[in-house]
Amino acid sequence: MGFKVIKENIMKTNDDIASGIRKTMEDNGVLMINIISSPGAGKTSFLEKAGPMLRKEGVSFEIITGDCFTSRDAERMDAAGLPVTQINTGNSCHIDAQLVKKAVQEIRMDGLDLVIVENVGNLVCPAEFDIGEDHKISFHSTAEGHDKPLKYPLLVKESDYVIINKTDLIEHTDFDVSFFENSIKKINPRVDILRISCKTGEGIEGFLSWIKERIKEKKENGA
Amino acid sequence: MHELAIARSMVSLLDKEVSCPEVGRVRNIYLEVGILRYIVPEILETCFKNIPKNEKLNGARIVIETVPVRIICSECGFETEVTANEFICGRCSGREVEMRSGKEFNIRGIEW
Repeated sequence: MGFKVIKENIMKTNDDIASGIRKTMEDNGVLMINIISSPGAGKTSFLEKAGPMLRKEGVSFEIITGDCFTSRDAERMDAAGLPVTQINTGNSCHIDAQLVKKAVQEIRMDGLDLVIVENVGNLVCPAEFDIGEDHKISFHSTAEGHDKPLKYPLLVKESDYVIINKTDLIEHTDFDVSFFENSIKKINPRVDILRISCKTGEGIEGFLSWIKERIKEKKENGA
Repeated sequence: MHELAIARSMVSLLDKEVSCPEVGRVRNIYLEVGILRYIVPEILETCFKNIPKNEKLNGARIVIETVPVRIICSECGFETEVTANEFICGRCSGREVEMRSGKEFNIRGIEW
């Protein structure tokens, strides 16, 4: 009979690798964001729209995209001329720090402003795993229903920005915008919420202003 | 199914802890898990059972202590236990709060 006190964080291995990635990004003055959503919310469509706009604004970026089995998202972004690295997660439902570390090693940091990670579509697991990002973005769509923030509070709590896509579909659904936004504010009162439609392009410029501000902050803090 | 990745992390930590000779065959593994972590104990048990590990860990039971979400109000200083999706002060209804617990994910210890 015996007892050994351990008191060790189970996520330690992942978190240590994530700290290493964060340090690499800091040393290079590169901002990193982690976009998390349900499957089909429109992350790839969003990047197809926002990517060329970012480029036009002179932002130098790389996209890391995660998918369980296919390279469909990477192919779509490659066709749009966007710089993309694919991670296949196999049977894992999230991207962890080890996978991101490998992808980051492939990226040239010289002159880079931003790394965008498009996580695997899932509102639970990706919120658990620190990948060294500066900001998590909680990405939703009106077709999913307005109760998702209440059902997945950890993601909302951990996020610094919330995007709600497919606003063009609101009139065809029972989506209640104020219920959705109030639920978010109960969990994370300070978070900014952006309404967009990837179909019409409406609202996407709001993301550009937000991200440019974050890039500026990162460069200033790193200097 | 983050339980599989989590069970793997547990095994890699525990393999080291049980390697010293004074630790016998482990009966119980005590975890402390915040309610925001969405762990399904039964799935975690199954994943843990099926991962190759030090034989001292075979057959060990996972005992989970669930930690509630507690917040401290930045305005009035009151501490409240809240549900996972309403971070609102129980005294003044303030929303500027600091989370004190609810995100834990620790191995507290092992018993043999």
